[in-house]
Amino acid sequence: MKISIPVDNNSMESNVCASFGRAPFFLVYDTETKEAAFVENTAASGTGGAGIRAAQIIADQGVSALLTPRCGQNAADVFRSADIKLYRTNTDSLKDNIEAFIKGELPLLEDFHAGFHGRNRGM
Amino acid sequence: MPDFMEETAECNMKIAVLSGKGGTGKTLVSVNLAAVAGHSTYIDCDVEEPNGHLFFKPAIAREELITVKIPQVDEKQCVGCRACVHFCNYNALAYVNNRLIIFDDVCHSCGGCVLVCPESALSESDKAIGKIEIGVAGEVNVYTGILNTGEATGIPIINRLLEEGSAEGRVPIFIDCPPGSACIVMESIKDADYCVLVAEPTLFGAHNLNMVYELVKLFDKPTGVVLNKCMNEKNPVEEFCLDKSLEILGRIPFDHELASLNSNAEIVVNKNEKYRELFSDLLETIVDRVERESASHEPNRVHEATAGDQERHRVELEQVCGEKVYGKVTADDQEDHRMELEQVCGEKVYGKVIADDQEGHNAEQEKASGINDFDEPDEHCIEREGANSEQGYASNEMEGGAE
Ligand code: SF4
Ligand code: SF4
Repeated sequence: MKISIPVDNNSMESNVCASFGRAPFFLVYDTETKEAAFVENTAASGTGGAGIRAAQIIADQGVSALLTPRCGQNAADVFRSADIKLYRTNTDSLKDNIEAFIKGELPLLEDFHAGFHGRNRGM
Repeated sequence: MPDFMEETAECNMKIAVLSGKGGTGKTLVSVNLAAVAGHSTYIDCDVEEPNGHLFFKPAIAREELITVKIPQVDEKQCVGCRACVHFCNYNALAYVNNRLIIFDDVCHSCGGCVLVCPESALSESDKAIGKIEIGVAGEVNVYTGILNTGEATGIPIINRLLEEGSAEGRVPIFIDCPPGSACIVMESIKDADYCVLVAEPTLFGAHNLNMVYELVKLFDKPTGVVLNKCMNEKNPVEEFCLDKSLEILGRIPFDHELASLNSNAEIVVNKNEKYRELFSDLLETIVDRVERESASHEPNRVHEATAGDQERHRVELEQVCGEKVYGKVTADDQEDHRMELEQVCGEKVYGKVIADDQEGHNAEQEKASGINDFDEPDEHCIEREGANSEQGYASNEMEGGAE
């Protein structure tokens, strides 16, 4: 099964990136073959809607699951359409999360933060 | 109409009333100023919670739906080439599982995707985001903007309101702005000749006043402060105004009668002569300041951008504030954001200013302002902290009266 995780660096020693849409790289990892590839997140430096474009990039990798600390509502909509399941990471360590996922220990991510605009009245 | 208004009624007079938060007395001030001015216009730009009409109870003459253009896809025609997805600068489109997904709330209504689709699978449709109501209450024309719940931005509504409200030329025009200092407030004051900031006499009131003061300073608007709920005590807001050389235009006392009239949605100047006097004096002071300003200043921002400039500035500005920007945008707007960014990070900023630059300073800003931002970096509008402009004025807002 192919999974993806937002990461700070393009190495297996990297931490999980705290942001999904603005993560510099995504790890694409095959849990059977242990093959790892790092995909650059071209949405990271873009204008708005970073989460949507990032979700498009991940969907195009043909993964079945995304492990992430958080996710916006719009990106979550893309993942739902693409039949990609979301799981909540539980530590910063990339390797620990992959292990936890394989053991079935990661919970599903079910709460998403507001979209691009939110309701900010500046206060 | 008070006597002093008679000779001045001809001159352009748009007075924006602002406050750092809701409930400070902003609506009390703008409603009663309009009422005491008599022949005047009241525009309620607080589109998320318009309250002015509750006081005026205007007879509604006309309603207008406000819509934006959103693409829609004919799935039978779409071949999945993704030309539209690649084109969209705002990432409002995604193509997964052989389906195009359109994110209305991210779309900036640029129309580009419709043009680039080689299969003509996309067309534009109108999406209503709210409405404006135009009504009359005695001599006051009342314009109210109402944003549908959950819509991303009320800025198109505000632009339409300001356009309609100014068209008839029933001056003075009082603009009841949204509270706070987000982009939508900037839209509301961009054409104002004068900003009245309403503040409560507390430490928190001073903090809120500072936020909105920083905003009007960016726009280089003449400004004064009205203090609401004043008691005979030492007042942190008075100190703030002194410190910033901000003029205090008037003081509204803490007064049970006024508070209860106001909370019953009564226009206080119509109920008690002493309040009529209070607001009449305040209006006289404001009118005098606006006239002084217009006499001493040539308007310093007459910048008619070409269509190309215009679009470029819009994109830049949107990148900075992470929100849709409607209406005209000038190089000055962009410059304003640079200043803002410099204020936040305390160093010179060169080149184009983009949202990511600002994002880098988010943590800093949040620490300074104590305001929670969103998780995604590009989501915040604008917070200013620690600006160091030398302009000697500021504004204060009051909301919601002396309750
Ligand atoms: S109209 Fe413009 S902003 Fe909206 S989806 Fe199409 S290309 Fe993107
Ligand atoms: S450009 Fe037209 S045909 Fe191509 S994916 Fe978009 S809607 Fe479909």
